Amino acid sequence: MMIPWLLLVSLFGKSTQDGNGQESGVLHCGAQNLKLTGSDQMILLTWEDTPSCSAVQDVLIYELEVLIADKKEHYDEVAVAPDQIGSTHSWNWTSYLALECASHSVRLRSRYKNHTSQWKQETRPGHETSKAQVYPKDKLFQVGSTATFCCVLPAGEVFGKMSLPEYSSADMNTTRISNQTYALTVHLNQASKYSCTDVKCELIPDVVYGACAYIGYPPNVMDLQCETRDLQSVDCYWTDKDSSLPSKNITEYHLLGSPKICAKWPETRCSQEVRVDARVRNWTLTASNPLGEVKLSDTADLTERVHMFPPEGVTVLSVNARNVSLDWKWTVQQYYNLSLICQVNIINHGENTISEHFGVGLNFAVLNDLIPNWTYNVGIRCRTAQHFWKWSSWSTNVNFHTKGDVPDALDVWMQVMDNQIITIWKMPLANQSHGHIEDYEVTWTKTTQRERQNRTKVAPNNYSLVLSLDTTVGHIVTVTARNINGSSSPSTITIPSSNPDGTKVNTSSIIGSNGSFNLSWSASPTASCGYIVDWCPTLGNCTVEWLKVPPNQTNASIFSKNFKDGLRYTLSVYACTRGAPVLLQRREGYVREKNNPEATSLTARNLKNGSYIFTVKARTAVGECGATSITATLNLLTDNLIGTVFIFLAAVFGLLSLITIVCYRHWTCIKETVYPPIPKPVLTSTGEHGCRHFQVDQCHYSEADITDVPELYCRAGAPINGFVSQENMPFVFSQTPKGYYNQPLKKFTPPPLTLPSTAIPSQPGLPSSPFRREFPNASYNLIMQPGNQQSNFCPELQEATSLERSSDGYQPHDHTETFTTNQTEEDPDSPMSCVSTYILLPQSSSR
Amino acid sequence: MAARRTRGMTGSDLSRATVARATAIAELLRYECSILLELYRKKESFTADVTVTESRLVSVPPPSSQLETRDKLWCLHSALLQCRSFLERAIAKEEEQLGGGKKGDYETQRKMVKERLTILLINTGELLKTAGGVMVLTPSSEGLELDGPTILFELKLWIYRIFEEVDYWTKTAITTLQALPSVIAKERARTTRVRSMRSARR
Repeated sequence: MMIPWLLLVSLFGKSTQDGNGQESGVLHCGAQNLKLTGSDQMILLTWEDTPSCSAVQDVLIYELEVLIADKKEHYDEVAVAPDQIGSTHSWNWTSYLALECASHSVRLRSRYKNHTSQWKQETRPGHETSKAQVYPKDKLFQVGSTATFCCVLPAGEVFGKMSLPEYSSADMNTTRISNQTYALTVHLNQASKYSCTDVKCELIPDVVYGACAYIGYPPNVMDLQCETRDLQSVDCYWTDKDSSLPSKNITEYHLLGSPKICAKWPETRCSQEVRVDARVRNWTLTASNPLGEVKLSDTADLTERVHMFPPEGVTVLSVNARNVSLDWKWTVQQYYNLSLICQVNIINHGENTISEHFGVGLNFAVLNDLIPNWTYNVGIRCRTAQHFWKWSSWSTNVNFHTKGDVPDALDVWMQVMDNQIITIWKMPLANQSHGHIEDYEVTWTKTTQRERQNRTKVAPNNYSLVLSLDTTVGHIVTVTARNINGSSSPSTITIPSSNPDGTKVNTSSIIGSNGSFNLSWSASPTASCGYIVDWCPTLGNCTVEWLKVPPNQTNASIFSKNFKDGLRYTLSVYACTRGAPVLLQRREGYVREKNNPEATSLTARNLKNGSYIFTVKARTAVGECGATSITATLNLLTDNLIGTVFIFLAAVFGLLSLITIVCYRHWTCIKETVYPPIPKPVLTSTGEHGCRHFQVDQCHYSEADITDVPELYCRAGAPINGFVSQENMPFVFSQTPKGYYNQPLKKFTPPPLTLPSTAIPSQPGLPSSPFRREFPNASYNLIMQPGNQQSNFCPELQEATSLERSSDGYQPHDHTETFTTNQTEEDPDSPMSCVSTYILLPQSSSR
Repeated sequence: MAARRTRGMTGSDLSRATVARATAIAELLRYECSILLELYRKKESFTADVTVTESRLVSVPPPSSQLETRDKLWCLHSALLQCRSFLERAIAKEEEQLGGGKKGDYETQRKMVKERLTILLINTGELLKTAGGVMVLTPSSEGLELDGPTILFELKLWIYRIFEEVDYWTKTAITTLQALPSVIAKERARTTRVRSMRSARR
């Protein structure tokens, strides 16, 4: 009985043991031999599985965590298939920071089903240095990317700021990674201008550390075009922009996948030998720099893209008067087998003419229709006749001078004046004379006697001949020019007879425009060889000018450098016939009027006073007419006087207004200054207070008394209305409601001046005063205080001698002794109420 | 110093015209140096007070009033020679490491300073020769740390240091050269006095 139980227990125990063994093996499965390496910003972790992992039969997961400066930054998982278990695993990750900036740690653990192993960690420490450093150094960045730079400070240094020149703070963000490490994240949106861009780390106080960053572009190749020039190689052209990278990282170009560098920026063309055959091919260019690589293709059959080299050794073989032959060589032998088109650019005194020539392997050309005795400059370029691709560049230019020839036929015209026939011709231009003109020969004959010819020679600097002939008969005149090569073809003109009964034409007017005449006429059937337009000033002698017009043209724009404004011209249109020219039309007019004929008013300026006669006349080419006169008188004096008076009145009015305004605005001040308020007088009787009224006009004077100017004494007080006298009239005259009073001002006290005393009879009831005339109704209010009224009022005034300077010559009294007043009905002892006060102190002239 | 001649000299032999010419060249060089520094600061966005306070690159005892004219000239000439070596190396390194092939105002000014420094060296060499000194660079160019840093930013600072060094020694040259005429005059006076005393004794 025990044996089966033991067997059962042992079996159970084994099965349990087996199961636990696998489970515990899985649980111990993990990473071993961790190795953390890296460069720049990338870390690489390699590890192996522990032996216990061999028991794992499903996918094993490794969990990885990256810590930068002990701060968790990234999480990742690596799945290991069962067949990979036991091999070495690797994992890499690119940090946003350079590895020198801060410590980078990787933690790793395995996970199988729900079981995870312990974390294992490897750390790559940051760079420690005795002086501040900025990382990464000398690295290349693409424009548009975002980069992070760090500044690692040694202990004790104080961070100031990190920056990139020419970047705004909006593009940059500074963060603190650890105590002594700071990071600057910047969006690199500007390529380096000079070599590389500085990343600066400034400490406090001012010490700068830094690193350089190349910020540039990957290749940007465009517009690739391939062709052949020598039919033995391919030439490719493209465009690319500056990558802003340093010379050691400059963009390189490879053609057709060749490892050989075909070109380096800034070169944007390269050539490579190929077999050129008639088939379409892809011509591929590869451009690369550390920031990227670009491939670009051009599809073409090179035999259709032949860009020829220019002709070499252009030579002028034979030079004649009107033609030359040129030949040249080809540097590429294959060109001799190509069907070519060549252009010869003939430069003739700045004018270009191009002639085209065709042929297989074309290497010569004949130029015709040249001007004799003329210098030419020619250049040649060619291209393949089939499949036009590009012209070659122009060959080196060559010069040649054509041989001379007889002059061209002269352009002859005539002018008939009275009994004279003037034959006139135009001076042959350089391209018409074909050599130095030695002389002209003129022959003439009557139309009726052609066999009898007259002949004369004209010097080369004369271009007309005056013949006194019978103009009633027609003449035929012939002119030739002669140079060293011979005589020109004769130019003949038939001079019509001046028949007074001949057909006349009416003269109509013409108006010039833009310095010329635009003339048109009706076509004439007689004009077999075209038309001649001639012109001349209407009045006076002239040298006729003319223009020959082809038969199919019935208008002409007549312009001459001899045209003058304000001069009337007669223009005649003739039909050119086999015989004499036939006058068709005659016009008269001005190229430009000198004065304005539309003007109907004129202004004469700067005239003096007087009478003028203005006469207006119309002036035409033939004289003056239609005079009209007017008489006008100019009298500027009266106008000036009136004007002056008005100005004066305005000025006075203005001044008075100003004074009024000033006085009004400052009235209080003036009043205070000039006429202080006068307190009411208080006259007190003995034992009583009050004022007694005294009527000055009741003062007791003897009319017979001859009194001098009375002296006024007043009590200081503000005047109601007052003004300051002139300097030598030191008084204050104040008009009061009840009268006036005079008050000498101390401050205007002039030096003593004795004026002759003029006796004026005193008026009854009025003080004898020189101011009486101005203030005829003046009354005086006497203020006095019993006992000592004089000294109580204005004691200083008593000493004043200002009245001695009365302008009217009055001699004031030296001293006031007595005066008499008539008492009012009031009680003399009662106080009097006085509105205004002054004291009249008459003096005896006897003193 | 060991290589220089110790034979006695008098400043009276120095040509005033040569001294004046050398002074004028040094003044011109100083002006051109200031422009070069300004252009470099602008190009590299350096502030004027960017400090590169390390030991001097040029190793020559500073001119002292205690030294004789010949020794002063020797020091100056030696320093300027070292400056030129550094400048040439700086230009080469800059072209090699930082050059973008562009030729602007800065590059033109840099070339001008180098050429002007060479002319100044010819003149100070003449003066030194006249004063009886020997034109030997001490330390020799092999002894100079001409390689420069490999890190670009440090290379830029190194170049800036060299420009500042040229500027400093140019200013020193002006001071030294301007002091020479008075030295010449004094020495000439002393010589005359000695001669007259000797003739009096006779």
